[in-house]
Amino acid sequence: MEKDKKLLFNFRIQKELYDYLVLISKENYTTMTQYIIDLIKKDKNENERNKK
Amino acid sequence: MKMNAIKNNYYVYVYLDPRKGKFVYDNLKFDHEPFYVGKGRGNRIIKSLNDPFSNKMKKLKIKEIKDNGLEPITIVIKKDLSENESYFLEKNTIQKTGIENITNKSKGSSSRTFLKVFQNIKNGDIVFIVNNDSKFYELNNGLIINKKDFYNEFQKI
Repeated sequence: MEKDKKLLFNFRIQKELYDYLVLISKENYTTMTQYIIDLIKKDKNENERNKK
Repeated sequence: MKMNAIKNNYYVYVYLDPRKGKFVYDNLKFDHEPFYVGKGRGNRIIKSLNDPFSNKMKKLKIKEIKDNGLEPITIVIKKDLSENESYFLEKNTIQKTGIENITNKSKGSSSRTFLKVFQNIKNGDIVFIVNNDSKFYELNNGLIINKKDFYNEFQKI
């Protein structure tokens, strides 16, 4: 990957979600962005729960 | 030169249906019916049981087992693997078991599908990239329409 980019998050996703994100990124970028924000929040909450 | 240590912390796991007896596929012997093969590390074996992005067949099978007052049996068939070794063993296990006999939708290739979130060091832009095997696709597609909104949200996380 390009050296000027810092990796913040890396999620394993299903192929169905891959297809959905590719599709929605073309049709509704806002929905796609919100979807990814929710995914990051969910992952963060889950990590915090696991720490407890 | 400093060598990067390769962590062999991946494993391959199988979910079994406790309602059904012994199953033999090739040289693989299971005490109960295998219905899902996966690979991962850490607590993936548990996390995957409740993965909302799981395919419908897998979710339905887990629900059926739970509706009977039981829990899916989780077994690790091999651990201390590199990521590549785990991909290979997962694929091999799915082949031996027969994809038609389990709830996996792909023969292991979907394990290579990722969503990556990058930040451009120079200008702070957020870039979303998905990759499936060796194919990379930049979701931003050159347009960062809600970059500011996303960034504000992102800072709160």
